[in-house]
Amino acid sequence: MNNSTDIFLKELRKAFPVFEDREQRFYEDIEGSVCEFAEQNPECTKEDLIERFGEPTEIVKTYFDNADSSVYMALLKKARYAKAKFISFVACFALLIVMSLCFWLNMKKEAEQGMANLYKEATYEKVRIYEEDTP
Amino acid sequence: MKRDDNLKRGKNNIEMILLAILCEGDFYGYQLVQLVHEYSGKMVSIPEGSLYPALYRLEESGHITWRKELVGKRQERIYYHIEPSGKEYLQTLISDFNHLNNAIQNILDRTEPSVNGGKNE
Repeated sequence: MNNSTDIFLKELRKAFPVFEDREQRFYEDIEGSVCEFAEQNPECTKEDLIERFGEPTEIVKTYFDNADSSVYMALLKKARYAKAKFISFVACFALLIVMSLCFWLNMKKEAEQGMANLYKEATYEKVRIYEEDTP
Repeated sequence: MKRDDNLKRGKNNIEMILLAILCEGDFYGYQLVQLVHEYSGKMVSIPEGSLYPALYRLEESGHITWRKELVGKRQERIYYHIEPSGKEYLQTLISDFNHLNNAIQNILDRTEPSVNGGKNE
């Protein structure tokens, strides 16, 4: 295989919106066909490959047009479920952060309040002792 | 007629062509594309994006099987082989195809005068 076939196959791989087992198999099959063509035409350019096989995006489009639609409906459903799962996870994580922040602020406020009360009590005690000691 | 029927018909035609060629012997994908082109007098070409999904469908329904053969040191070829059920399925597809062709021909026969502009003359 020459450099043009490598570039062509890389572009083809990138053109797939999903790449499950079926697409992997199709990619390997078409890779075989591209290799056969490259062997018969060792000096082939990317343009020659496009002329013979079509643009990579075109190949992928034809593949999905001809593939079993029920498989892709299931795949889309799976993708939607994964999206919902991700959104739920992010929402739970955000809620956890907000709750932790509230808890921490509350603790801080209580600690400050406690310190202020302690200071107040200490001051009253000092004043009381001073008043008792003063004739 | 539903759009799905038309889509299915297109897919069936590809399956019919492939099965018909596989009746001649076992061939690999690249070879099948070349043979379709050659046998049709360079009038029909099946793109790889249509060829492989059709082969996968035929394989899933048990009409064809495949085997791998090592060519050279690294390259592998997948040869497809038609099974008896594939031959039966081919007969069904040919029969459907002929029925549809006859139906279309009937339409053309009836409308031929108006196409030529001669019906109203």
